[in-house]
Amino acid sequence: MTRATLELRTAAERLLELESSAGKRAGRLPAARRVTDRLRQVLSTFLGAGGYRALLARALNLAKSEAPELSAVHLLPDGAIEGLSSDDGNRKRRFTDGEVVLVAHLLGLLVTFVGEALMLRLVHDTWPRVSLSDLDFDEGTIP
Amino acid sequence: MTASSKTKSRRPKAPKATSPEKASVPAKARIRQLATGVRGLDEILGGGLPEFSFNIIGGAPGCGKTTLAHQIVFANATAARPALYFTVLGESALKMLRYQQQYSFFNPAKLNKAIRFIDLSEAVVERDFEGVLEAIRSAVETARPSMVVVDSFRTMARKVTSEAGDMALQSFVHRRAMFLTSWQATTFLIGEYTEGELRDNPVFTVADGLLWLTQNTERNSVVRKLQIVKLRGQGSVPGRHTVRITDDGMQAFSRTLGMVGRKGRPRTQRRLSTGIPELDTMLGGGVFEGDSVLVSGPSGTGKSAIATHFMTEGLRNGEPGIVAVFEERPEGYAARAGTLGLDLEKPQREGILEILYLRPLDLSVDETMQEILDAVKRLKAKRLVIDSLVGFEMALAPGFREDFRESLYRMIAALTGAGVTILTTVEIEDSFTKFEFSHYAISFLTDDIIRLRYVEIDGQLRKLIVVVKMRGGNHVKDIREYVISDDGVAIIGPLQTQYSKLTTGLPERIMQWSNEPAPEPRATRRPDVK
Repeated sequence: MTRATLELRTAAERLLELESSAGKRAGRLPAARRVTDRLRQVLSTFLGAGGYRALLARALNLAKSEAPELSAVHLLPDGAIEGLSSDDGNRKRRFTDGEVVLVAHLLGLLVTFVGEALMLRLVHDTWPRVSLSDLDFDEGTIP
Repeated sequence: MTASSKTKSRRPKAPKATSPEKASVPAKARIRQLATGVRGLDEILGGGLPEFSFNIIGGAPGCGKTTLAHQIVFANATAARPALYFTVLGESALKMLRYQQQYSFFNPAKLNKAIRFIDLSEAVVERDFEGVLEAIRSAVETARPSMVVVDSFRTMARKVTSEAGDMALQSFVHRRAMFLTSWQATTFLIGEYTEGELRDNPVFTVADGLLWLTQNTERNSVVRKLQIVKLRGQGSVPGRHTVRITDDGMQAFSRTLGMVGRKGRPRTQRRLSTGIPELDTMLGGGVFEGDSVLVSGPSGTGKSAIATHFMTEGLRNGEPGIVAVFEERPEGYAARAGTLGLDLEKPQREGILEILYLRPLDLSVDETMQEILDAVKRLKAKRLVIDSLVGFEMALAPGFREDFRESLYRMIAALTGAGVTILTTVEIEDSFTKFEFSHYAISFLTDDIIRLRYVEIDGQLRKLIVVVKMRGGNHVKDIREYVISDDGVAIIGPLQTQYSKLTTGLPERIMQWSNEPAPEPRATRRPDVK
């Protein structure tokens, strides 16, 4: 089973944390939905909507095998995700472990395909306040 | 240095004022030339890419079209003047970025700032070509790019043609060219075309520049070529130029070897010593500086030894040198020189000699030449030894061997034009009916020819040397005998015994000089052996 590394999960948590803070002001959409929507805006430009949807579908597929609570999650034709639950009973966090795994796999696929440098650049362009420079992503997900 | 600082202007010189009317002639349009970032390509293009030109990069899949476009874009795009790279139903941007980032020119910091990738696949599939044009127009008006690439345009052209025919395609391309030029963008359309499609294609009519890439497989070798089929507004170097793709991206090797427009150095009357005093005498006082000297002879006659004498003599006089070898490694070559009492190690350590080992298969003459020219420039070399032509030819890809003679001509002309004195060796088999100088029929390329050969005399295989040709000077016509010892090559005094038919290798004694010893002692029977 392909698993998201600790570094990828940490990176995902930072993005989810930021979006969940913003979510208080922006509505009650799950944090992973907001993260993936923002990445969709950036990635769809050069991958095309179909290209982005294919990438996210693969990330969701990988994440489901690692986080069973994502079993009800599916993709809409425009690449948006639906069926996420924001409550996993952990009152200290505003997002679920499944969301972490999903975003981690999406980042991991970017590392695998375009490398760490370009993934970091994409993330930085989308969330300038997030720093991931302390993390070593190596080859992305662990097969 | 930034790419923008490397741009050059081609402002025609204003005519000299000879009358008030002529003094007021307005200046012609100024065409800036953009550096492509591809080594060798600017020279082939005639200085660089004309700014705001509308270009097509064509060729079969795998020729390097996308790599070339990326290299140009990365060399020129800045955040202030970005490049838009439209991908259309071909290689996805995800994979494109994955592969292109392996090249050293790829700078991830430019992504999304200086270079923006935009996928147009859905626009092409879902909309008509007016809709596609609108998508491009919208992106261009927002980003105001200095460069636009459409990869691949062929896909788009197929759709337009199938919907409305050739005329609509030409109209589509024309309008887009007009639009992009008006927005001051230099544009590249990338397309998979075959050479047969070059004629009568309306797209090519509209283009200002047509860069054509080919890739031919010959036996086990792959040869890539680039041709500037068309370039408006400036003179490019005609013909097909070798290109190679390495970790640094594409590199082009101009057929003119970068020597276009350079004035050749005037031929001097200065004579250079070969390092063998008697040979200098035979040459009428030495080799003229800037000459091309050919030393030919069969294996073992000492061609490399003479070449090494020539090189070490130059080094001794403070003239840096290059030795290009193809058949043995530099260490072995230098070690062999050492057995003749000639030191090639110390000059290498001192940086006044380079022994270039040029042996990898698939080399083109142009690439080899570029390596040699780079070394000549690096060391400011005055002498060059090419040892040997046979090895040189064997190191080339089969496809290049057909052009060997033409390439040799360009190579020698380029180097001697730069004031370098060249000594080339060539191995030939001794024939007992002919007296050849070279298999390559290249004697017209050389100023001076020295021929070595074996001859059988008194049960010994002895060596003879003769100066066959000396352009621009008289030379000794005698056939002389020489030996190679631990002290190198020594030409011995004229024989007292007279022979005829020496050039056949089987001479006839005309007049015997009593007891004239052989230059190297003959084997004698040991008294204790019966």
